[in-house]
Amino acid sequence: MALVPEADSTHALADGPADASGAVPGAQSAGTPSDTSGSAPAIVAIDAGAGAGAAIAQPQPIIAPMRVTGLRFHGRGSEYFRIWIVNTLLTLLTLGLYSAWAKVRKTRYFWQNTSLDGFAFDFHARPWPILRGRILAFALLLSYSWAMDFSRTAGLSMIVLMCVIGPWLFMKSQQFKFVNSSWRGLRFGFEHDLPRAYRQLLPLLLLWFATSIAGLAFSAEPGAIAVAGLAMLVMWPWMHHRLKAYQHAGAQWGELHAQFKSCVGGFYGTYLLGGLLIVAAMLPIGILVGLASVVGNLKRFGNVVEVVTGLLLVVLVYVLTQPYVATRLQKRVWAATRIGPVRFHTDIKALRLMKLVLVNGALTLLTLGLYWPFASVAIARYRIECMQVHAPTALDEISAGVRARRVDATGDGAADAFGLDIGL
Amino acid sequence: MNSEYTDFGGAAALPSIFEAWWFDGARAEARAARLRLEGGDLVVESAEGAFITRRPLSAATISKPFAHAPRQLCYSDGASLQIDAHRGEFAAALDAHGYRLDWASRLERLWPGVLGALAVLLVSLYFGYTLGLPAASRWVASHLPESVERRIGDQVLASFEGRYLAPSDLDEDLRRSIADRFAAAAHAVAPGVAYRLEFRSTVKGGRSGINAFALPGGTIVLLDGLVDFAEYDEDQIVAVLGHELGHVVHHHGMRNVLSAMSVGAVAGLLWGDFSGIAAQAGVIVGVLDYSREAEREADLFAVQFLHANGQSVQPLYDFLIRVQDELEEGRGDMPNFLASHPATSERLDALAQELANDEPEVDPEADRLPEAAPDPGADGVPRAGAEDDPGAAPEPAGEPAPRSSVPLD
Repeated sequence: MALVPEADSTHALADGPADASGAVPGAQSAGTPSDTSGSAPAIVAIDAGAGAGAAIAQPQPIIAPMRVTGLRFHGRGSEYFRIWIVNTLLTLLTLGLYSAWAKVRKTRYFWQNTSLDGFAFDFHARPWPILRGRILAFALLLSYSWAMDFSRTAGLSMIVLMCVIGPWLFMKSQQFKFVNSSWRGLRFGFEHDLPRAYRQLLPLLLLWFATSIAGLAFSAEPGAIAVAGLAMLVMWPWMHHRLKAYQHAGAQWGELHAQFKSCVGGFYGTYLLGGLLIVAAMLPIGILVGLASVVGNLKRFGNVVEVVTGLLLVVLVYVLTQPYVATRLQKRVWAATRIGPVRFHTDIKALRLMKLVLVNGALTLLTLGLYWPFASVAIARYRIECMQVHAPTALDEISAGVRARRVDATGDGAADAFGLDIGL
Repeated sequence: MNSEYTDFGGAAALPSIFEAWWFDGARAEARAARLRLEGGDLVVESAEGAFITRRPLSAATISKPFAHAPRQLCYSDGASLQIDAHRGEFAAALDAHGYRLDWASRLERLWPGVLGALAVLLVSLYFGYTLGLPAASRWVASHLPESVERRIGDQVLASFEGRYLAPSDLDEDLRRSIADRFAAAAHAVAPGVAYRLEFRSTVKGGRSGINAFALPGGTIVLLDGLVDFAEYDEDQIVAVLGHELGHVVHHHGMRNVLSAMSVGAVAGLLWGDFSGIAAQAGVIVGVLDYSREAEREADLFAVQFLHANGQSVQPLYDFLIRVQDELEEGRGDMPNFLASHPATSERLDALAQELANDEPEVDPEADRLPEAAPDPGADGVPRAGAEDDPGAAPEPAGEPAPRSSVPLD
């Protein structure tokens, strides 16, 4: 962010498109080292494959340092509050039907207030496909839970149906999201490759349903469910990585296709660390509970102990471990992603995010939800402004030559038929 | 300057040419451009003054004016413009050329409108919760085919079976005796109400078995633990079953399912974005309130039930005293259903009041219980041996009796 202090829109307009990144290649990251606070210089050095000395000296023509451009977010809580109130009221009064329009308004607010290199993003989805998608998702969810209660055959056939249409639905939802987003007048996109969608996602779905299948097919035999549960636990980081790989590798901007370098080892490491964190934190609690049961009459306080340990576990998992794991994974995922010559980096810090989520969550609870729009703007600002784009030359130079994708009717066109929100 | 701009008085002072970025949609190149509005059209020229395009303003999708975001205009062929500077003036120029924001956006821009929306939101949430939702779930529950309700109840019971519930260990004769007494009493107060009494115990090592509950569709489950807790006093057991029959008559099980679903939907709408857990907490708190209300209704029904059988509310009162004693002793295995019930002391107060009323010739003014009974006298003669007037529960004048709308068959 420090490298693009004047990415302010009016300034960009006055000075011409190339102002923020500098007209002279390398001038920004190498010429003004005092401006580069935070972790950006470290990244520059790593990407340049040279020590700090190279960055301070005039750039060698061979080692071109990466130019760092931060994403900016211009939204304000008080402004989004007004949008949110109207959205919520209308959604309530229309018994949920307006939620599709609300979704469009909300997403437009967040995208149009996000800019990179002085150019804002835009969101183009129309509400009707979103409404259709929501009705479809609602029907699927309803029939899924109904089938599970109805009979074993119905449950199994519902799982089969989910496996058969799941990858296609997920691909469609990705396409909808990407195709309806744009930057610099070019739409993003998502690959229209059905076989790949099935290859990547079907194993995930089968693992996801493993416990349900074990429960249904082996008449709730505890052993079978335990084996399936264990398999899922062991495979979870692999599953998560595969999903992220699918999402990131399929992304496009204009004619540029993203690439994703596998980092499944990092996923296992992070999850393992998260698990150890929980165990390490649970140990003292377990000892305390054990002591209490020896010293005092535990039965008398049975319910209290249950509630307290439950609450502690929730705090541990959701407030401490989950943000930690999530931020580390985000860093890995973005570091593994590139699109053309452009790389990504997120500076997001688990502690900072935790603090933000805790404070804003508490305020939201205290105001029975009324603070939520302010909270979501604050959290979005942090998440967005942590994102950096690293490019070998000026982003403007790289971008200007990128052409729009050739639109084919079965791909982008059909992607607009219905918009599913699958928030993964 | 274009002569056309002199048409609208003060607007002539506004800049009518705006700097913008032009994207042709074919490439991501940003061209510095100048833009003006001319007779309902948008004219785009390059920074050097070369003509780029002229398009009708009405064909453009124009982004809403946000305080700190550039304005974006885009056309269906992919061409678009970004306007960074002089956005206020641009908005005025758009307005002068007949562009109108949709009404939701206009509402969002005005604090009075937003505060009005907030007020309407809070008021509709309040009345929806206190009046709308209970009425709707009552209506739906009483109009739902009985088979649907029974199906749900059977599913719930099946899911409890083996996990929490085990076959009853009670003596066969005792079971028959309880069932017969309850059947006769139920017939007296609510003939035609389909119910099914099931005896169960809890699985070993499970939770406390001091409980009886009613499921959607009329299944009443009586746990051995409660029979034991009541020290095999059949009067007390049947009184508790009368309370459960109240749940059946009022379709409380189904109504709970429906209101939990609706509260869940609204809570998800309000807080789902924030946190799924917060939304869940909202559902639990919201549904507990309905559940306490249902318990009060069921207590009232139990009173009518006992009266219809010529009994006082003494057995139910005695049972609740037992429960209260148990709670005060604070034993670990306190009845776990109490969280969803009103404070026992409150229930006891209501019953004590009722006990006082049971004395003959007591002034009905003292009756604090406003609910009307589905008049048991109207449905045939109470079983032999009934001494009291079964219609003892007075109907307060002027207040509609919502419960009487509940069909009893």
